[in-house]
Amino acid sequence: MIKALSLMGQLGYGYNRDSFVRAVDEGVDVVGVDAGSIDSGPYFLGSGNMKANYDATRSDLEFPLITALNRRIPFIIGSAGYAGSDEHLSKFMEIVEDIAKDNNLHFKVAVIHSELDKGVVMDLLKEGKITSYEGNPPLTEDDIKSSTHIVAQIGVKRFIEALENGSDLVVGGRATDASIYAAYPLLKGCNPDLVWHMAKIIECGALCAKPASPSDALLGWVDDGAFYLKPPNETRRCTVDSAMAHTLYENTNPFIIEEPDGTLFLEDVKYEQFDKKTVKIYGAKWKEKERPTFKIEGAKLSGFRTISIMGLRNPDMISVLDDILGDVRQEAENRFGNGFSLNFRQYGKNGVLGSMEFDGNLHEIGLIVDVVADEQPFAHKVCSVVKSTLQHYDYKGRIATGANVAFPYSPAEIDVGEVYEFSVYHIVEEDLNDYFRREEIEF
Amino acid sequence: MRLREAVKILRSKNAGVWHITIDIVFKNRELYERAKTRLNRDYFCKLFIKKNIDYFECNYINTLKISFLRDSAAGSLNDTDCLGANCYIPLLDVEI
Repeated sequence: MIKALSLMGQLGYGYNRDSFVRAVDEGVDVVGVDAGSIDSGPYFLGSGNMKANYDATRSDLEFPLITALNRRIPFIIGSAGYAGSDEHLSKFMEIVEDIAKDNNLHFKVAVIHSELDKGVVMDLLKEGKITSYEGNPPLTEDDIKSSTHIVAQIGVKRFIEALENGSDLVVGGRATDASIYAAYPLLKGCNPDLVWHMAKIIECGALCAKPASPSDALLGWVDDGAFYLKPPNETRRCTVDSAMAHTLYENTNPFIIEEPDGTLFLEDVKYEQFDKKTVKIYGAKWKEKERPTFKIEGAKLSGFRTISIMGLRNPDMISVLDDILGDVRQEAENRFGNGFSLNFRQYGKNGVLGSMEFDGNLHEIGLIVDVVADEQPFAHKVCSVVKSTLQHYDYKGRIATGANVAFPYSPAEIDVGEVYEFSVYHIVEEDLNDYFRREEIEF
Repeated sequence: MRLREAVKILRSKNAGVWHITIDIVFKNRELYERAKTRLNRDYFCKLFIKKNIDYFECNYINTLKISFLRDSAAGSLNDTDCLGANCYIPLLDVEI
């Protein structure tokens, strides 16, 4: 029996120390944690910045890592530093190094890189080895050239090698969540049908328990012909429903999960309530790929943003707002050309659903003037002028000649800084494992 | 009956940066079967103004699941919902 502990859904958002200690006391063979994602948008990959900062990351990592090292339990981190570039890994490794130094710890770390050289990606594109991801627009040479970072989601192979090599801590770049948890049980010879399904569910920590929380731990173990899920926290339990519902989460297809190394088929999965807080699951089928495929992700700098936030409450103005905004846009283009992007976000009207909005009731609008341009000062200037034009716009029937809008802030313009957009989200049909450099470090 | 009264879970979320996936987990088999007689791929295509929608009936968990391509990637300049977590809203009051 191999027992894996998922420390939490994502490193840096607070974990439950009691749950961790209880699980480790009960005995676990490996501790894993996912430290990143692509969920929070293109900024983190584009900029190389971590999402959870130094303090948040360190406070979640320090005690569990020291505990695992003391008890000789291998510790595996995926998507360290959040988005997988070398910059993310080096920022993350500063934290590991500080923990090692400050606690006088000695251990062996494997760092697995996931950033790809743009030249390599360009060659793969020219060789026709990059395809769309489920219907998204095809990758172009410009997409590659404009990217600040391109990374691949690494699979399980390099994680297993690092463990074989005796690493106490494995720090993976951008990785599929399941690879973090599949590596150790696969190395120990567990059935891949069970391992991959378990790995896929436990990566979100106690998010698949009831009550759900991404900031608490989840135990998974593989035994004869089935795997089991149990939250160490006494106030939570795993139920058939909670485990089933979680298998659907964030996957486009509820029956098939693609991993770099193979495909997991879930049509015949059986879920049983094993005891009050434990679910027993079996029946998934894993099919190894003849040649692995990899998802690659990239982001590019799209400019600099300045926003202005204002409230509109006058019913006469609200009734003709679309015309006013059309005029204001036109005026801005007449004055500044079209070297900027101007977006009016109308909260209270359609700020969330956009063209999908179906409810016409409104009495107040929170308007965000959102300008993106190549240079911050230019974005600021355009935003400022648009704001001012709206403030004084003389619409038909206007009787309140003070100012048309309510500003909650002074100054009304806020420079937001760099704006990134995704430029790459595609599939590489080629074995990239040779590019995922493994670095061995000893503290 | 409105859909919101028939479900345990009704959620949308990004699946990667280019797709939205919506999970509709019904309270029981009866409500799930009833919904299936009203909701189908064409219905969702019309509601979400999409030519192509992947539509799944997950009988084992009384769930309908749909997935579709976004107009632009999450976090693009005009995107309103970076996590894709509010796309279920038009489904709340659908009559089943």
